[in-house]
Amino acid sequence: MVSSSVGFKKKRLIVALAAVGGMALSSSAWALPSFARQTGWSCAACHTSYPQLTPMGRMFKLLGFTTTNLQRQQKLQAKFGNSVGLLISRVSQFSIFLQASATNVGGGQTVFGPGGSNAGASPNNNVQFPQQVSLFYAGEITPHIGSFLHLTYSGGGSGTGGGGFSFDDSSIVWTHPWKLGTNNLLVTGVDVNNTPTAMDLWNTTPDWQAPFFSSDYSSWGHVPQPFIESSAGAGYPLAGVGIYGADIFGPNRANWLYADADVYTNGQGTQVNPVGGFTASGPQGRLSGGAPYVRLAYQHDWGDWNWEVGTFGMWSSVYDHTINNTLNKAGGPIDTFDDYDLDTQLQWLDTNDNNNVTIRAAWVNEQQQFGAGNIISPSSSSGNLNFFNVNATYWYHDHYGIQGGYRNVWGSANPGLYGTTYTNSGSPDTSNEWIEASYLPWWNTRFSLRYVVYNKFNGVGSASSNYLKYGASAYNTLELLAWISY
Amino acid sequence: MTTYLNQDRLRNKENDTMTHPHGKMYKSKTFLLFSTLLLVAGQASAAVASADAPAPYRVSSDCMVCHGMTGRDTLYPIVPRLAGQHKSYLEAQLKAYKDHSRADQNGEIYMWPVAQALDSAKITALADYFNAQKPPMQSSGIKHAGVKEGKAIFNQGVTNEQIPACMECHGSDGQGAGPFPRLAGQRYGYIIQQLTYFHNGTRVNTLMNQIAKNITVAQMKDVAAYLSSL
Repeated sequence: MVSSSVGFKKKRLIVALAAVGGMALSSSAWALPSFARQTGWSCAACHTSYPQLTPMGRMFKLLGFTTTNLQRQQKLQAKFGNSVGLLISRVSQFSIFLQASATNVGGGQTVFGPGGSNAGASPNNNVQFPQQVSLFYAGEITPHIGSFLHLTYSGGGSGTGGGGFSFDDSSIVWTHPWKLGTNNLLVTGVDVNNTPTAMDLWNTTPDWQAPFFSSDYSSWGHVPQPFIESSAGAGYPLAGVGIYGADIFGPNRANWLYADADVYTNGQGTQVNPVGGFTASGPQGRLSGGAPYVRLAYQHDWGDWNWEVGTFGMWSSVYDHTINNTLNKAGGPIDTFDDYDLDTQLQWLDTNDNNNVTIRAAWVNEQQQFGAGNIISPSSSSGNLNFFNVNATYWYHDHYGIQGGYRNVWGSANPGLYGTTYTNSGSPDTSNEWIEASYLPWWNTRFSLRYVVYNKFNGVGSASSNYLKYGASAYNTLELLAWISY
Repeated sequence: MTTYLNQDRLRNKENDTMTHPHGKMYKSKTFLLFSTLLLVAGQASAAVASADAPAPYRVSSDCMVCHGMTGRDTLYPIVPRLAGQHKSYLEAQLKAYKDHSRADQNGEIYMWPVAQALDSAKITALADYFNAQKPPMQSSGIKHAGVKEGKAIFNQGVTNEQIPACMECHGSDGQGAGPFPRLAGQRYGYIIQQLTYFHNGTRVNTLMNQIAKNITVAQMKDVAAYLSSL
C-alpha cells in the first residue's frame, strides 16, 4: 500500500483527485518468508493464505514476531561478562514482495475525467510492473523484541507522480507473556508503529482488510474513504506509540480479549491526507495534537472455529489550510474526523487438510466537523461518511482460492471535500460487488483475477447522472494480479 | 520486572537479553520509559507464575504459541495437551521429531522445526517442566457422543476385531506410565488424529500400528470421546 501520489484536475475548485488507489487499499501486510526462516514453520501455519491470519499467526504476532526455532549457533551473542546482552539472528530476516498488475476499466481511463489522476495512462489495459516492491526486515531482534519493518517502492501509475520509496506499515514491539493462572495467559506489548491498526490481529481492520491489494489504475482508488482507511503506511505518514494486551482465558483458549491503545502524530511533517478523495482545499495540514486510537476485540475459539467481534475509534484533528495557505502547520480552521468501527470475523479451519473459510465484515462510521472559515463545506459545518465492507474467502489445499464481497460507501455529499468531477453535489456514494479467483502454483506465488462491478460510483448511477456521461458500469474493473514473496 | 529476575529463564545465558539489569540498560532513559509503560500495561506482574515452576525460556517464546504456558490450553483440537504428561514419553517424542522417526503430517509440519533446535539438555528441561504441570483432568468441558462405547473399548477392547483393551498399557484411568502416554483429558481431535496416523501407518510405532490396524473411525471417535471426558 502505499504512497502514491496526487494528480490534479482543474475545475472551478481545484480538485485533486487522488490516486488513492494504492493508499486507500491499505492492504499491506503479508506472510513473510523471513518469519518462515526464523521459525521453520510453513506460511500455512500462521496464514490461511497471506495476509489472512490463523489463530497461530495471531499468537505469533501477539508475541512480537519473537518466536524462533533457531539453533544456538544460528545466533550471535553479545556478552558482558557472563551475561548475554544481545542475541542477534544470523539467519536473514530480509524478505521481498513483488506485485504486478494488469487492469481494464469498463469505460477506459477516461471515465475518471480529463486530467484525472491517471492522466498519463494508456486509454485502457494498463500494466504495472512492478506495481509495488516491498522490502521487509522482520522478525526477532532479540528475545522479547521484534520488528516488522516495511519499505515499499511503489510504481504509482503514470501521471500520478508515483514511483518512489516510502515507509510502509511498520512496527517495533516489545512483548511479554504473563501466566495469570492455569487457564489464563496475558500477553502485553509496547510498540512504536506508523499505521493505525497495523498491530491488529484480525483482517477486518483498515490495514489488513480484503481485497488485499489493488492496482493503481482501478476505479476503487477514486472512491472516498474515511480518514483511518487512508492513513496506512505512506498514505499519511504517522508516528505512533502504543500498548496492547491480550488476555487469553478459559479451557482450550476459548476466549481472547484484546485491547490496544495508541496515539499518533505526524511522522514526516506537513501531510496531505486523502480523506474523502483529495481536494486542494481539504485537510492538508498537520494533525492538531495527538490522534488517539483505541481498539477492543473479543475472540471466541471452539473446535475448528473462531469468531471475533470488535470495535475501534480514532479521533483525528487536522489543520485546514484554507486560511494559512502554506499547508498549515498551525492556526487556521481545524477539521475533525472521528472514526468509529464495528467489525466481525468468522473463521473455519481444517488444519489437517488445509481447507478454510474466513468471513469478515466491518463498518466504519466517520463524523466530520469542519472548522469555521474553511472552504470545504461552506454550507454545512459537519458531515458523515460510512464505509461498509463484507467479504469471504475460501482456500482449498492452499492452492486454489475464491473470494468475493460487497463494499458500500455512503455519506453526506460535499463538493468541497469530494470534488465535482462526477456530480455537482459531490456525492461519495459508491457500492460494488467483487469476485476473485486465485491460484498459487507455489505457496509463495499467487495469481488472481478479480472483477469488480459497480452499482454506483461517486454518486453516479445512470450515465445521465454523471457530469462525464458515464454510467456506473463504466467503472467496472477487471484486474489480473500477481504476487510473489521470498 | 523484579518478579522475573529470579526466574531460570532470565538467568539463561543463551536466550535472554535481560540478564544483566545492572548494566548499561538501566541507565538508558529509553529503557526506563519502556519499563514504566510496561508496568502500566502489565499490572499483573505480581501475580505471575509464583505457584508453578518457572518455565524454561523456550516455553514462553515458542511452545506456548500452540501448547500454552502450562500445556493445558492448546490452540487447536489437533494440538495435544502436555500438562502432566510422562517425562520419558515427552523426551522420546521430542527426540523422535528431532531424528525424524516420528513423521506424521502434523508432527513434521509443526514439530520438526521446533525439535531440530533442541539439544538433549533442553529436551530434558522441557519434559520436566510439562511433566510437573497439573494434568488437564476434565478441563475441556465439552462432551462428545460415544463416551459409554469408548469406555467399553478402552477397558475391554473389541475381542472379535482383535483390538486389545487400551487400559492394559495406558492404565485403568488413562493415566499412562513411563513410555505409555497419559491419555486422560487429552483433546478429542488429537486422539482421533493420532489413531488415524497409527491406523494408516504414518506414525510408526510397532505396537500401536498393530493395535489400530482394525479400528474403525467410529471406534476412534468413541475412544476419543471417553478419554477427553476424563
